[in-house]
Amino acid sequence: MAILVSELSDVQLVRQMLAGDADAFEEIYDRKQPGVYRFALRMSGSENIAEDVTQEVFMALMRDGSQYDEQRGNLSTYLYAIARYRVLRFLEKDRAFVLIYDGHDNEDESLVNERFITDENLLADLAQDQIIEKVRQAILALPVHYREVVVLCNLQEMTYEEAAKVTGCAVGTVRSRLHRARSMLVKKLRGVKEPNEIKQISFSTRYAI
Amino acid sequence: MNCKDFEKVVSDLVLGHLIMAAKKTDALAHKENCARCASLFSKEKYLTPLLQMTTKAETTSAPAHVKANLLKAFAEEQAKISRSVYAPAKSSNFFAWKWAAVAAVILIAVLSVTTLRLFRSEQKTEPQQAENPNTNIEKKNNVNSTNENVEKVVKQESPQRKVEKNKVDNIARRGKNVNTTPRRKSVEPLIENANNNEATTDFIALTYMDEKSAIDNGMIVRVQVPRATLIAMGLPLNAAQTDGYVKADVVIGDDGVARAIRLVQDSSSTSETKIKTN
Repeated sequence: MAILVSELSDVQLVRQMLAGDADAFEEIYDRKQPGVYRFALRMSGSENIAEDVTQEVFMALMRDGSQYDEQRGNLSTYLYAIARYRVLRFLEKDRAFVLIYDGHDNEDESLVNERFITDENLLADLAQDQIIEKVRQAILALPVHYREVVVLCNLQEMTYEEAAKVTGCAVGTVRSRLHRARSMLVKKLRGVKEPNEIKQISFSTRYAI
Repeated sequence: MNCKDFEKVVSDLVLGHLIMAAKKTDALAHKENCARCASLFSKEKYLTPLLQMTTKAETTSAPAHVKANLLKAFAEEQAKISRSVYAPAKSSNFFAWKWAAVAAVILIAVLSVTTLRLFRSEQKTEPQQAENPNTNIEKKNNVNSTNENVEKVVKQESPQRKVEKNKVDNIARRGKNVNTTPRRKSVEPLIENANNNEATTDFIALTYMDEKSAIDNGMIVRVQVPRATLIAMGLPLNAAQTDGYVKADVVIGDDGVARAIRLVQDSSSTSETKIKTN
């Protein structure tokens, strides 16, 4: 009885893909592509870069998939690590888009790129999608090394250990960076109402009319 | 628990990650007693729903053409791999052919050298064979139309013999002119034989031979002809000496008719036959 590729684990799919199975490759793509694409999009803020990065990540898997070692981490971690490297390369090329981390880990929050910081007085009546956009912009305004831990841990919902493998840092570093990044985000998003507040506003507005 | 420890677990606390129960209790207790950590906790609690909302809202994925491109690239990559897997067999065939060609060239070279050496050694041994008449002398009687007893010497053909034969042909083609013109009557300088023991004149066409009867095949027979006979035939010999025999090579065609003759002078012989050169 033939086993469907959808029933196979990531490791089995990689083996099948390396054996030349196009269905296995397609299944891996379908499983992992959304996360990789969103990671690239959240890190870069550019759909074009996200597309390119996604394509490059799976091309790398296709060509150098034999380098994947399941003992060192799961497939997602492997792919995110490739994606992170590619994104950083793109960001270095396109410095005008966002600021690049200058290498100082104890960076002061005042040095954060102010381009994307929201005007807190204008955000009181933002709808949900506007809030989401503001959060995205705030994340994009973070230095890269803070941004990546927020994206990985908070948006991609990775564990610290997985994020540490992707970024090549110690778990403690990830934790401390995340703590600092979240503090910076709170500062940036000050004035943005919480989701339950938005519900209350929309509820009261609806009944006021 | 102090503030530093609280900072480490505050995210887990807000996000609901699994932490030890005792650690969670300590953290919550610390938050109640520390205003700074309480503020931090409230900030985290404020931020977490926003981030979760953002996460849930993002359902974007890569456009379809990315997938199409990748699947196409995968097919091309596999085709390339299959070609490269086949390539070593091709290259090994190529090298096999290459080695075979090299071996063939070496073999041809060796054969060529061997053949050349054999040919040269044959050239060297032929004059010695000519010196030893027992090996290839064949006696025949009644060759000449004059029914004289002659000694026939049949020599094997060699490059030198071929040259001589060509000369005979030329002479035969010239026909009677050989004898009529002074130039034809004159005998070419003596040809030194390979063994240097005898000298010969050029071949002289016999007078009864016409141009049409030039031969393509035939043999050269060494004979001893009475001097008087040769003088009677008009060959340029000293008419004063009519006795004795003269060595001569006679060209005999396939029909048994003598076509040309040349005189042979044994340089070692004391009773030399004088040959007129003019």
